[in-house]
Amino acid sequence: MRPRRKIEPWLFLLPALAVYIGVVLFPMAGTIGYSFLEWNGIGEKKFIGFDNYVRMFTDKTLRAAFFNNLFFMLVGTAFQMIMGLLMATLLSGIRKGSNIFRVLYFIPCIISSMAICKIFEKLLSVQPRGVISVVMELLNMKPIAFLSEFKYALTCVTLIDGYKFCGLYMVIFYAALMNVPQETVEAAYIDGCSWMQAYFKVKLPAIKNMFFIVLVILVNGCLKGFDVSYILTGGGPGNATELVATYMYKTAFSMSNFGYGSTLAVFILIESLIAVGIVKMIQKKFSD
Amino acid sequence: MKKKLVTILALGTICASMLSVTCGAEERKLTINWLSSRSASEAPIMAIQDIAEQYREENPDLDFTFEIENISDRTAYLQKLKILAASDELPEWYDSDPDTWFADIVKDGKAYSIDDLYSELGMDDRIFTISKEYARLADGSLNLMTLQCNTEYFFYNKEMFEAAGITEVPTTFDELLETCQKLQDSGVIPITMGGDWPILRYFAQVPFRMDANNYIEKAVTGEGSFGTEAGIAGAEFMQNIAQYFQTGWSSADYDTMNDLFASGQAAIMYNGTWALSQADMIGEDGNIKDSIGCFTMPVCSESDVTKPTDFFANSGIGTAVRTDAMDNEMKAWIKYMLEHYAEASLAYDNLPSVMPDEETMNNLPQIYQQIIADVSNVEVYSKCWDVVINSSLVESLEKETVMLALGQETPEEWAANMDEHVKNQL
Repeated sequence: MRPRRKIEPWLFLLPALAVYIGVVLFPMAGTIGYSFLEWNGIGEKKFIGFDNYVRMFTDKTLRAAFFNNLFFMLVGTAFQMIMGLLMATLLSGIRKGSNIFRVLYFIPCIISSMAICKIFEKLLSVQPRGVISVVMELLNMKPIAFLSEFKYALTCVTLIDGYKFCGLYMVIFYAALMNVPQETVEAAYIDGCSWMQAYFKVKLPAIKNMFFIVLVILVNGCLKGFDVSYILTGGGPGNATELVATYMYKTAFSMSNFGYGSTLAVFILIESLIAVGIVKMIQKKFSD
Repeated sequence: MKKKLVTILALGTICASMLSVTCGAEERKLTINWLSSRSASEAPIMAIQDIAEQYREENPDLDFTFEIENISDRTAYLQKLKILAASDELPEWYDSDPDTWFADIVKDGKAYSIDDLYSELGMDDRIFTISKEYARLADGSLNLMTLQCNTEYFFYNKEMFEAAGITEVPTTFDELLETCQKLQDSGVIPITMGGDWPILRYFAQVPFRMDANNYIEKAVTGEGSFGTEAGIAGAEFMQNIAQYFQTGWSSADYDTMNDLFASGQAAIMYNGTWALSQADMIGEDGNIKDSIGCFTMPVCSESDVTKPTDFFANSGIGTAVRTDAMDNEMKAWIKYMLEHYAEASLAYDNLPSVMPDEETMNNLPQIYQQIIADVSNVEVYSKCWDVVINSSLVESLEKETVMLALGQETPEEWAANMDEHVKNQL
């Protein structure tokens, strides 16, 4: 039954809409506006048209950050999705103590990024010796300073970021697995399915839609990844762990180039929209 | 009715007379919010807080609020400062280096002239020369009060040197490299490194010897190039010395650098004299510990343009006073602070920017007398690259220098990349 007057839904939406406009749309419009300016935060703002956008195409650091971000997104997404699903699967299989394990798996999500990064910094340190380097020595291996090596630093940052957030996806997948009707699973067992067959052919297809929701959140989050890279390595060594978000932040607030920093923020916005659009297209294809 | 009128008139007269008394009495008020890049435990902060407490007690009629917000992470501090400046919300006092960004702040009229202030307060002759000269901008103006008198040394562990068979401190860069090799052969970490700016100091030393400050001043303005003879020599030295830093140095922070030296794991640490207490180098007698020595910037060769007595000397990050916050009460407080600062600072083992009286100077521990003598002998101060270079270029310089030191770039590639960064920025 349709409401006679259509004003009430809008009135209910108004507070949330006002917050959304004030906190999201308005700053977004401001950022887009700043991207056409040259401004160091103190002097006059100078309109420079599309110069900042043209600069993006010749910016070597941005190129490096973009490819780093792609790697971060692909590896981070795969790692967090697989770990989240694995932990949820293990949890769904136990009755006693599942609450404790759920809390333990979720703890990294609620610990601050600074604390996580400092813990891993000490763990991975070679001089002074950290736990990992001691273990490597015990295994007769030469300790590696993972955060200072060009070929390992980005992988380390990606996995540490994944470790921090995989608990969140564990909770989402766990809730989804718990909502799979028990009768369907029991019917599969009665029909002669093994545990593996029931898992892959009954449970996972039942939570198919959740995969795409998690994928959207993961892809979006990874493209905007910032805190672990910034705190742990500052984007270094060199540009090895520089992500687009860390580069944007440094450009705006360290280099006092708010115009070009805003341009990079717009780049991240467009990049995220394209990535989510691609995920939606894939989802539609799977649904068809 | 008549009674009501009389009552109202009487009440009105009493109120008016009370108002006139309160308005007529001058209210003394001074509010200072200080955004500081120093940690709360640093000597200058503790000294000034003590002085503020004393000032409050001696001025009971003054409504004196003195709040300090400490952000000891320099990167985070600078980011907050720049955001406040962009939104025109700078506090009454704020810390800054005399870099190009601060020069823009001064041009915008947001920092009071400290030259004028010192003259007005009659403190001009009581400030150490380096504490004034370091904080001057390129145009010669002084808009920062400085709180320290520092120089920079290579601090070394005497026992580790002895164990490695090193009997004399190095005086040339070649000798420094040989010393490091001997230390490495003896099984210790030759040099500890960490944070953003220390690596730039190593880089700056060879060009400073070969071309004084001309090299960096010309290179960053585009008038010169990073790839001159001095620059390439500096880059080559950088690649050679970096192999003696501890493993994983590029991700180590400043505190790790200090800790490695203080805990006896590394033999040499290049740092400023502000680190004497940070890295536990001061003994119970207030002097540098017997197990620790120091030597100054080595020389290249006889053709150096700077003397062996010329090296890095500075006065730490300065403190600016917002122009519109400078009134008579502020001046009175600053005068009081400067007059008491030397004594208060020395109580925390910190060499102040204000000269102590003669008797105190003569009774200072030997290390501080050496620092004052070394600073006084400097004719050409080596400029700190992270201070004189535009903030956007510092980020690129630090990155490229790490890549060079890790062997990812040749000196020529480093120089070409830096020249390109300068060109893009101009």
